[in-house]
Amino acid sequence: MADTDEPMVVDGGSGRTCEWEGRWNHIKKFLERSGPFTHPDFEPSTEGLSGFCNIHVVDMDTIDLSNLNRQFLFRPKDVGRPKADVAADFINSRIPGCCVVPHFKKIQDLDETFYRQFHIIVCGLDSIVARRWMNGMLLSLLVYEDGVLDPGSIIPLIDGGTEGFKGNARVILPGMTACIDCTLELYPPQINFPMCTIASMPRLPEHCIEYVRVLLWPKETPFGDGVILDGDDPEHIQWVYQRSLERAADFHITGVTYRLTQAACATEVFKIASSAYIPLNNYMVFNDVDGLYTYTFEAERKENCSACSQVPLDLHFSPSSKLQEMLDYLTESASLQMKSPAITATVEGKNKTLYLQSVASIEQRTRPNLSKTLKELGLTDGQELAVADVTTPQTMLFRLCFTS
Amino acid sequence: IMAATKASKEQKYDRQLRLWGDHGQESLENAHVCLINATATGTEILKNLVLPGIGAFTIVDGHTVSGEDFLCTLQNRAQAATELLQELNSDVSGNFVEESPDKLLDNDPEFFHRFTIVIGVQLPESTCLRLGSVLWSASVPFLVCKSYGLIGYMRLAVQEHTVIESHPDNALEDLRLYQPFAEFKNHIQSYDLDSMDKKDHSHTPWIIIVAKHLEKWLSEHNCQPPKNYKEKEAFRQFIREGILKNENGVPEDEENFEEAIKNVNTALNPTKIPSAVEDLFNCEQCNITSQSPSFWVMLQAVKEFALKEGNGSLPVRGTIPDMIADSQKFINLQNVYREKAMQDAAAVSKHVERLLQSVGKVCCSHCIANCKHLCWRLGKNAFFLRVVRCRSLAEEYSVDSVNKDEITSSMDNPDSEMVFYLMFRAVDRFYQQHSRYPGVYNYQVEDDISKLKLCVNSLLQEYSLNVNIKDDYIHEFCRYGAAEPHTVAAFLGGSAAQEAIKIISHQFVPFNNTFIYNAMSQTSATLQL
Repeated sequence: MADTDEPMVVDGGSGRTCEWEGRWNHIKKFLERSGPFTHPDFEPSTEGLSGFCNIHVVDMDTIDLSNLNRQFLFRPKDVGRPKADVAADFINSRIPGCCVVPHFKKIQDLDETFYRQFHIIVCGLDSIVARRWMNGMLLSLLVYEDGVLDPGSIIPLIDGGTEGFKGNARVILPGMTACIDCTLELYPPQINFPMCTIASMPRLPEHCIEYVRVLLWPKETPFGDGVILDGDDPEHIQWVYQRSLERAADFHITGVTYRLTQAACATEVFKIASSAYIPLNNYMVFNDVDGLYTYTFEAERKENCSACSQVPLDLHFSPSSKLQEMLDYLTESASLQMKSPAITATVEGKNKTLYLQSVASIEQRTRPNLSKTLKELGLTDGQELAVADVTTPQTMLFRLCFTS
Repeated sequence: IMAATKASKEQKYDRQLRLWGDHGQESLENAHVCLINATATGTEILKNLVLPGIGAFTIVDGHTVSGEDFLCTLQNRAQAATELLQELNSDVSGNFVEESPDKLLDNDPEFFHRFTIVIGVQLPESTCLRLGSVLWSASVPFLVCKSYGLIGYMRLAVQEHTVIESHPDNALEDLRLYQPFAEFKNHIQSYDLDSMDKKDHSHTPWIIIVAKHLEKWLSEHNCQPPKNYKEKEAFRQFIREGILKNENGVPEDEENFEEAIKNVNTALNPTKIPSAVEDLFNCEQCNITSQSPSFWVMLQAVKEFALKEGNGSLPVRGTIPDMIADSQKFINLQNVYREKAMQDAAAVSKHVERLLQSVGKVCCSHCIANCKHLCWRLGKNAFFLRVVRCRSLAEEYSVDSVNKDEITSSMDNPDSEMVFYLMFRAVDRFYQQHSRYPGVYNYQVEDDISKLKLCVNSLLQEYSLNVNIKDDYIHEFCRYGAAEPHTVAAFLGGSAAQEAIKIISHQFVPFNNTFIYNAMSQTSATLQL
């Protein structure tokens, strides 16, 4: 593990066995020479930076055949193996001196002690939820002394994503620059077809597939109770495809194909597009449909960002509002966009779970609370509410403000 | 085995087939790409072409692998790169030629004629211009790429690149509400909004609603459709009045009517032939000969269609957006457009057959079937046809035809990406004079700054460019020492490979003609030089 004081990588040539003449020639020109555009604090050095290349890779997926057209660390023989393991093996054997440690896990399976060790984190995640979680994790590592942020506790986050011919890349310095949640509204809302269209009035092949995916699959559980549709399992896709064809035939809809079915069932469905334009620097968008277009701007921090602003957020509700209204607000508000928030409060000195969805028994027990008013639940003006959700590793605190 | 291979290829290439379809993939698999110089940039570009399955590549490189490239072997760089790239995709055939491009140009310039595209990386100016001239005459697209310090450069040189499927990002729908065709008019006759029950009324497609109200409007306004804001506003209000009311006179919640109102702005635009397409109609290539490429035969056919069956319009596209409606009404309406589009495509196809016959090309039944299919695709894209014509390298470099305006106007901002283009030209001069690049060794950096400055000045003088290049940039380019950092190589690798795919597949629109990437500020610019 590299020392915490020193930035990673690059050896200036110490004669070790993984070194050879000229290996670092290209990079040295940037590290050893100053220039008119380098940062004023940059000090070129010929001593180089000692330490070796240490990378940890976290990935919960296994390799699929459809990955091989672009994920170049993998070969046909690797299909089925964990991506993290194969990537590590490949690089460790190909690049002398490099040490890649794999973790075949979800990012959420690792904690602060794990993430704290790194100098930089690079994300190529496939969902906004996961990005927000990582964002929240790095924010939770920040150390403040007397209200002043200790720069040593900042771990930069490089995040990027692509969809077709479009992509973006951004640099986040937690606590200093805009975080993922600051720019949450840049992500267009997920396209959800209205239920009445899916259930009784399909018009497009996509509606037919959605019907099978969302309504038929949970009803018929074709591969067993509790078995979730796996977008990478050809048998699952084949089942959805056949049923979608049947659905389409009932309504004389053409255009259901295997390919379309597979696309609709894949988990990587979040479009990343930017439409907020402010002057320059940490957020770059790329589009090469027509020529090549890039635009780079400074994503600004949001003053009352729910993740990084440190200001407790107020929730404004009338005491006669039902808890359901609060739940709807937490999930539907553009700045919060929670998935299935669990709400707890301290009522009469005791911790009370108002509503929790992720554990069936608790969900059942707390469901009646949704139709009770905040007053009936014993909540008072100004009291603190704690909300947990998959979008953040830490519980968020809100202050309840009664409106008249 | 064939079926199994095809199925596994479908799976492997699934994510890209969604972008360019089976026909796009086929053109990739029929392509033979030439890469000159297997440097970091070159191999990154080729990796990004091998992975999606081009048919074959040939690397031309006279260099041996050096410590800068990778593990020291006394292997020829072309061979080493070929072996490693081959490993990425067994569907691809890899070849190499251990020869410098200059030697090939001396002894066998026609060597390059066989390629679908030639990609030249880190080429000195003289080689670049020689090769450029050969490829231009042979109509082989040439993509020049360079990573130099923190700057990336690409130049596309292709005489005429035609695109039927440009896949525009935000295209307006082709609904023909302004001049409805007969079948559409018949279809809306079958609707009587006033006599419908609530369920049907609320699930009538907005296109029908707008069409019905437009009919009424035209009869009351002397056949003049709403044109300005005031009239459109009145028309929207007219539609709003059509919303059903309950027994208390309160308007019901009819989302389809709200959709109609929202779409009035764009739905009533007359269907004109876009000026870009009109320009294509006026090209001399529309005078069809037996040598005419199929794109121009098809374009001429579309033009003749527009003059005859189209009554001044392009073939109907045939698609409609999703909208609130019950399944049957939507499907029926969609079919009206679809069938009209098929009819128009068939008419275009007949024009194609006639044109080919007129220049002595007889069409067999297979050709005719293929033609019908191509015209179906043509009809869907008629509004978005594009032709990209790049200036040749010779034109760019000649004092008589240099694009002075583009250069001087960009340099009004002395920090625009144009300055990097000028620095590249100056550095090329330096190489010509000194047989090396500036600042490669530490001891050279200081002295080379003044030498490079002389090159800059002679460049500006030769082309009579009245611009100022800040000393900072001259210093920076000496600092770079012709380094090729992998980060810049990787970015360029992705960008260049995608442009090559556009050229090979004739889908999406390539850049025209110079692209500069500045990794310091993460900005880029496209210049037409």
